[in-house]
Amino acid sequence: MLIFKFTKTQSAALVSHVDNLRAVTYILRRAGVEVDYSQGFNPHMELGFSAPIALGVESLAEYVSVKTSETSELTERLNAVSPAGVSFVAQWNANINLAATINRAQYKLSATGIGSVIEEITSPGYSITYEERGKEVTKDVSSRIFAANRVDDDAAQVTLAIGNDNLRPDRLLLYLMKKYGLVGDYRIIKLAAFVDDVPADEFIAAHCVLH
Amino acid sequence: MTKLTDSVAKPYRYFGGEYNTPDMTKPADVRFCMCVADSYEVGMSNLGVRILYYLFNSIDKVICERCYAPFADYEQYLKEHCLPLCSLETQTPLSEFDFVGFSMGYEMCYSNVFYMLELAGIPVCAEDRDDSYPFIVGGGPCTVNPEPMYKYFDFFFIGEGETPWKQIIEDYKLQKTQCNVKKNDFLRYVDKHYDCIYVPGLHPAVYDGDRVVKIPETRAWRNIEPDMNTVFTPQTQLVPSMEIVHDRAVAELFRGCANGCRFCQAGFIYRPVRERSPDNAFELCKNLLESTGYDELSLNSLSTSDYSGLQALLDKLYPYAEAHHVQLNLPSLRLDSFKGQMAKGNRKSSLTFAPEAGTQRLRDVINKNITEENIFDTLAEAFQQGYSSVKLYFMLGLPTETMEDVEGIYSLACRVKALYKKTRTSAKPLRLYVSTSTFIPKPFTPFQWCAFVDRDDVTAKQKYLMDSCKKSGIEFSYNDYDSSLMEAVLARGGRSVADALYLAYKDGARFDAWGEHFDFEHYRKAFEACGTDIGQIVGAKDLREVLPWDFVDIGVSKTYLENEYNKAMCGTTTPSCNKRCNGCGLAKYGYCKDSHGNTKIN
Repeated sequence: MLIFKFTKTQSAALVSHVDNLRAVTYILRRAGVEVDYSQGFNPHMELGFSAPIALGVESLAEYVSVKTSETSELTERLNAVSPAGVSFVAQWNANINLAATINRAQYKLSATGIGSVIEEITSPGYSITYEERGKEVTKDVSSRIFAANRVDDDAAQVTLAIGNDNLRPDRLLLYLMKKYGLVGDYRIIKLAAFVDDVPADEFIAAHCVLH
Repeated sequence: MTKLTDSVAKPYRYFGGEYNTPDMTKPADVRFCMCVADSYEVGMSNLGVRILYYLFNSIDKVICERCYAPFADYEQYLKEHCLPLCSLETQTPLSEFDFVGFSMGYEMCYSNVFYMLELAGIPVCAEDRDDSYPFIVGGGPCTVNPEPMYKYFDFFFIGEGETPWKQIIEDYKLQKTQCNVKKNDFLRYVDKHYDCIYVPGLHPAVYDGDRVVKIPETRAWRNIEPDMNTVFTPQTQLVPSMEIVHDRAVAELFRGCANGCRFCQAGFIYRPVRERSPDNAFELCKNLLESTGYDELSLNSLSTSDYSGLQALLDKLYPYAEAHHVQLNLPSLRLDSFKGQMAKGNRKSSLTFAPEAGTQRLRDVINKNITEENIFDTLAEAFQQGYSSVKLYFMLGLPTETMEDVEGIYSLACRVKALYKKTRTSAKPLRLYVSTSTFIPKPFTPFQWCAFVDRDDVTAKQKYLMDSCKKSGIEFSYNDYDSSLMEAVLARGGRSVADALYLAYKDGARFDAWGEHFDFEHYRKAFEACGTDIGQIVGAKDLREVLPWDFVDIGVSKTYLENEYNKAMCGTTTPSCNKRCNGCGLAKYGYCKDSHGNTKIN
């Protein structure tokens, strides 16, 4: 099984998780990579993605596992047939359930004034209020926040839980913007993914299968 | 994530970034924005737009971009941020292009043309646009009767565009770069040099109320590309990273249809049959699949099972598809040519047939050359193969239709049920759907003189079918009368309806092709305010009457249509063009030399 790290920026950041699955399927087909197909009525490529990110969040650190017997370096071939904003940056040979393993992500949040207020989120028992299905919900999210740093007045870096029991970065950011009356547009980029404290790249490299 | 993604659903549809987008950074003297007045998902599936998009982008120093009608959330976003409607590729405002072209694929998109022009800050009336605005041009099947939209477009292109459009753009490029041509001068130029271009502003017409008294003094010829094997054909298509309506590779096998069903406008305005060779078609399929990565392929035409090279093509396609995990879709299988082998490898899900009318008498009137024997032989074969779901499509309001014909629909459905009981091999109960649409007599068909059915008449027939199907466990559905009525007005109207269409848009009409958005009330009010008599427009016409679209020449003679009308009234059928030449008029232009109409004699 091959694991690829890829980016999802520009208009590719506007593609939903499900649609992105199709887009990656088409990339692999265009590149002529021989991928294993599932059995059954509607055979599909055997692919496994890291946990979904919200529509509109740009990412430099998405991962996909591809069940294939190919072992050669494929990133260049894939990049030659990828749409704008999708770029394959690394490749490993490893057997990992990405969605179940990668459990943290580091984001850069940009919004006027966010840098000055970000550090409160690491306080114990930290709760946020947001709207879910038309209802206002207040929830203790402290167990899903692992780090928060000011970059400058208008930017911050945070590390949050992804996968099961995740914390959506847009939800956190919108809560803070509302709480402190921060106005204007905002932007979120996923910079890196982690398995607990270990960067995902290191974790995958340590689990590589040798030939 | 930004405020855009918070407030707008699926924003990808407004920004593009599809794989196979041509180079948008090359130097350009001419910029064309190709629009479909419907959503991204619908517009992206349009084959004609796809062809012209790649054609324009293949021309030196010409760039073609795209734009589709935004939904209300993005309209709101644009307004809140004081942004004009922009092209997807480079986010350039539509008003900055040299040409803004609309594909007029169906009449119900007209209100969205106003919607898009106004969002782009472009005056909707041609006479209010000076040289600083782009040419607003229309193409596609609806332009065989362009009159309802005459005052909003600078010119219409009628027919197939591949060869003339390339030359028109080259001409414009030359005149723009060499002498900075004025809009009116270029319009006079194309009016004179291209018989497939109609410039309504140069050709007045006279109306008495909603009756045309004098049609424009010009002849607009529907352009016909003679040879499918050499015509410009993109060997690729855009691959969007979100799902669209026809989300698959689509290969066009042939144009035209030999059957001559009298109700079918496409059957007349796309004549004659011009086939791609099976080898050419297979190469096209392969290139499309390889360059897009799609795992699904559709063979596109008006009647795929009539394709003379179908067996030769499938012999190559089946093994290729199996080896490459590609699913084949074979649409528009006519009932009389459905064969068990054609459904080979497909899931035994559902069969869709369109007998169109419930009795043989009425099928003869409309020249749907299918007999009950064809229907039941085919179904028996299908049921034996394990099919357990059947959809039957009919039309209500056909010329000469009586209650007996409507009872024929129910009786046919009951006999399908009985046949299933006898021949079934599936354990599943039969799912039988009967669906009726309301017949719209369209220009350039033998029924163009016929009236659109009365509301009470069709309502009674729908109620009969609803009640009887319910009793027999047959699922019945029908379409909304008002939207068919509106489509009839748009298809058959002349210049007299133009003002009302804009007024209806101002009152809120848009996305009329979408059942959930269409509201006839906007149009009712507009027709009332303008004094439009829609009864006159959708009513029966005299054979000697001048029709608003008579200045358009689709190559099929009016005499032929009249003969077909008379034959219809006698219940006499006309054989397929594959069997013999019926003399529709196209042969005299050098088409239809052999039975498949593939070769142009010169």
